[in-house]
Amino acid sequence: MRKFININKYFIVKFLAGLLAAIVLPLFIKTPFPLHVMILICIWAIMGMGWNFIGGYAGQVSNGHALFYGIGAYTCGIGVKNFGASPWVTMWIGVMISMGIAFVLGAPLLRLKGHYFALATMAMAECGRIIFLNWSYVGGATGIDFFDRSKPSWYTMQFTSKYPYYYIFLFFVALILLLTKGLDKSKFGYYLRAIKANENSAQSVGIHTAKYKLLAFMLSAGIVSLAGSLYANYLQYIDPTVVMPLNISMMICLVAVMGGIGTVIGPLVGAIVLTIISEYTRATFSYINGFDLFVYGVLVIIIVLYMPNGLISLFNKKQKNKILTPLEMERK
Amino acid sequence: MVIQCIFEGIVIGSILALIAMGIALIWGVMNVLSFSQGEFLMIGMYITFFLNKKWGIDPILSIPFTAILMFLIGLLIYKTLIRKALKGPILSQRLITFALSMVLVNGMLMLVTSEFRTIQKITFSGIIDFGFLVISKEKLVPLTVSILVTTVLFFFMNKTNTGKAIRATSLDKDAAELVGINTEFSYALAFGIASAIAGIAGCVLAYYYYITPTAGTSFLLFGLIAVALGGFGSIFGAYIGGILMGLVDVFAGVYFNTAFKYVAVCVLFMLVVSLRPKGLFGK
Amino acid sequence: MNRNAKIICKYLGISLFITILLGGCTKYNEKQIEHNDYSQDESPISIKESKEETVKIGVLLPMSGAQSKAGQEVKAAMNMFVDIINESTDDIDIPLAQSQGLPNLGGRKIELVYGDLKSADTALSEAERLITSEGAVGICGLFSSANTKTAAVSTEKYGVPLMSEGTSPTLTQKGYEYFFRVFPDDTMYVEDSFLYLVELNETKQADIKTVALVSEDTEFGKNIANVEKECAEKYGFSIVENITYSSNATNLISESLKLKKADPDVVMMSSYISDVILYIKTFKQLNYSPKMIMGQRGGFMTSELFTALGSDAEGLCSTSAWSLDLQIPLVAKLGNLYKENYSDGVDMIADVLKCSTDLYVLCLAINQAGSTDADAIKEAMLNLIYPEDKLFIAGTGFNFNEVGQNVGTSALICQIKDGKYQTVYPDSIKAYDGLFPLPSWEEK
Repeated sequence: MRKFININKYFIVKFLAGLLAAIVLPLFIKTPFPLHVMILICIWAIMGMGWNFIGGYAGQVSNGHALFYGIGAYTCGIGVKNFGASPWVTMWIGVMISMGIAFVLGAPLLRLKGHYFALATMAMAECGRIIFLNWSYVGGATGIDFFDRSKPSWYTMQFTSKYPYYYIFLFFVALILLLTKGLDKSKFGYYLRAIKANENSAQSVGIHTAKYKLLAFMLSAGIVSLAGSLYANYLQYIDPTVVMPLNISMMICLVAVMGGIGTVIGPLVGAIVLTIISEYTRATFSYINGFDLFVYGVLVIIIVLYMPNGLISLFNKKQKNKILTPLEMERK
Repeated sequence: MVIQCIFEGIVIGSILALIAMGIALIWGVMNVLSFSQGEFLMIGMYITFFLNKKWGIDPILSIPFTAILMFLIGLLIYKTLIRKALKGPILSQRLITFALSMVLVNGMLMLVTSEFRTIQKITFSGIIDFGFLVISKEKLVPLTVSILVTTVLFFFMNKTNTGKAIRATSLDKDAAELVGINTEFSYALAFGIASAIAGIAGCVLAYYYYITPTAGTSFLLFGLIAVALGGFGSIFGAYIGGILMGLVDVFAGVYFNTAFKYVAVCVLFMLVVSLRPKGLFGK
Repeated sequence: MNRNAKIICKYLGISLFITILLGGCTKYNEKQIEHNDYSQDESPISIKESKEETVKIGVLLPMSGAQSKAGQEVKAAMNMFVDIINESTDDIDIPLAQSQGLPNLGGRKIELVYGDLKSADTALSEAERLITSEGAVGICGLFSSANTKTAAVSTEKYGVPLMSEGTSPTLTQKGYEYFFRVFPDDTMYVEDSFLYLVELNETKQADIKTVALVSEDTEFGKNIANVEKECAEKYGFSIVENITYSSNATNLISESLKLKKADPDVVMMSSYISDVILYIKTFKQLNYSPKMIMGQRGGFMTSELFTALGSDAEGLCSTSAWSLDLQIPLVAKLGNLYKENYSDGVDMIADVLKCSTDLYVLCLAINQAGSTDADAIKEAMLNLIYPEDKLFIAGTGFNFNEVGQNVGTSALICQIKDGKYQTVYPDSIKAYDGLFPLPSWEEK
């Protein structure tokens, strides 16, 4: 028990120090491009943390979270464009819709194991993309362009400066980081880890595995949808090729895996590193065709190959060897 | 029309089946979902293209050379990258193949640019028009090649000692090592064969498809789905899965809606795995 | 508490490192940007006049992915225009060619800064990066309609002129301030295509009654399909098949089978190059020879069409805004200069010229304005003076209306004959009589 409090105390100090650094840092930045990169970091961090619940803690690797990302983005877009609603409200409606869809699709799909689950979610996201591409109510391939100057900027979450975006997104990152931290050491978190370690034995000790997997799936869908809503408001333009490509589903995994799967701050670390690599390789190397993505791919391979437990294993020497299973945690 | 649809569906299915078999082999033996298979296909297409451009070799004659070259490329990639990756978690393995596909696409982009190319000198071409059915001779190639490859692979895996060793490795690596099987060799061989099959698929695809570094990417998802549809570990299953997807693709396009034909394919897949979580022929 | 201090130090260290990383990669020294109150309607960020020699213009091109070949061609053509402007070029008799640099800006030279167009969202961030980090005073490039839309979000925000290549008619209805389109929009192109069909009916008794629409499921395809539907009704053609398909498909069998079954008089297609190749090959394999294939630029207006399809490309029609066979001496001169010195022997095609003309027109406006201020450029653009005898495009000149559309431009239709685009419509500038109907595959 004391140990638990200790961890918490240090976590709070770390958290506040990190938050302070994140708040102060942009004040030294004078050009928008680095700020743009930081905003993307926030978006990817939220997505990575959301995906982490189902892919990291519960070990059910989904390769189709772009669907929820897109749904979040579209709910905001349609809300602003067709109903003049504030994104502050519609983003939560998006979360609800995503969770509902995750509930409906999760029930049959979560019965699948391993690669089958990954492929089924991939097919799910691909269906979503094609349906949105041909659905005229949501703009189809033309997408939604929802720049709206008629209402006050805080109501529509549309600013010309990047600072408000950054701080709003940072707030959500902090919120979800705290949520993850809270669930990390909760019964829910341990159940999910037990399911990841061995689903059959988790079932046999009385954990309702189907229920907890579904809950984790819905939670992660909701958070990823939130990220989609935020990104849509930042971009002020969405179409299915921007918010729903297969690549986004893979990148979400990549963020979590590079940082450290199944850990609290892993996805955040992954988002920082991956976004910086991706944006700066593009800005630096794009004068040769394809060279930027080539460098990006090589760097990803090196990091994933030599740090299979994520970049976080550099910081956390205790967990360097492997992520602890519940059994090992009990032993300690 | 229906007969034409069946014919075209089977032809498309044959190509998907070839891609699927490579994926199925890697999946079955190494338990890795290989995202770079589409790019091996693309490299196979480029080898075919350059052979054709330089010496005018018909794609069908370049199959042996392409297969051998792709086998060697596969071995090289296995030795340098996949062997190390196999020590990590399953998800890292998948993401490494994903990053590898990115490296291969963009590496090719730097080497040969994105220019769209096609095979120009085809000796084996022409059409036979029956009225109710138009058979393009070029389409008979994927049909026969895929049946041949499936048969050869089936006999190799079931009748030869090397094939049996690969199968034993896929069932239980440790036990296979105990009985004296060189599992490292089995892995390398399986990866090489999978690349070679992708190369062969590239050869037959080059007959009608355009050649560009991103050409393989769109085939990947459907190859993956075909494997899962058929049930992994079963070469026959992958073949049937591919054919089935080709048929659904064409029929959904003609009789339902062209924009939603891939939705039909994906929904079919999701339905099948919901009812049979291990695919149609999975054990 | 000691440990806490350590942690704080560690975190501050990491943040410092990231800041350096973030800052180090961009060039600070070029521009100072002041952040004002963001609720203002006017452009909130003013960019101080640069003291450097060159005038920088941002160019967004697809550098990776399927369209990068076209991007390279555009880059070559743009370099040609930059050389024409920067050096004194006597044999090309157009404004800005004789002098070195921009005369009204004290001979300052043009410099291009490049950004990558991967998708619609990178168009936004790259446009922003070029404006704020590189100091671009205008943006042009090889955009699709979707990319134009997102790039416009950036250019409008920072108040920088955008030369649009997006042809969607909706773009000019959005009330953009700094948006200019030198060439026609989709409506003009599609209208011309149908007028051509009417003309064929009248002069050649072609008896065209039915059309089939084939469009890919992107912004480009969808918009054109909508306009085509309206126009078909207007000119009395019936649509027998309306096909939307996934771009970069693995096969186009079912689409082609449907077309063959419907057997329309004209197939109207809006596709990018990959699908054009696949369609033509599939048509051939199914022994289906449409009487006429009318493309709407995109893949039909690329130099790769000839290398990839060879003789199979013969007879394809496409709308265009320019053609090498225009009977203006300047066109041939520009075409030769490009072919000999810039493109390794590839002929100039309309889309390449369009993009580089955008750049040229922007330079004209900057020169006429005598400053790089966006409002001055806009003012100059709306009152652009250009001698009509020095035009090298079809139409009457550069007369922009208040929404930024050049009303002096006009569309034309080309057909591929002997490996070249040849103008067949309008009558006044046509190079040869169009071929209708197309021969079947065996006769070709």
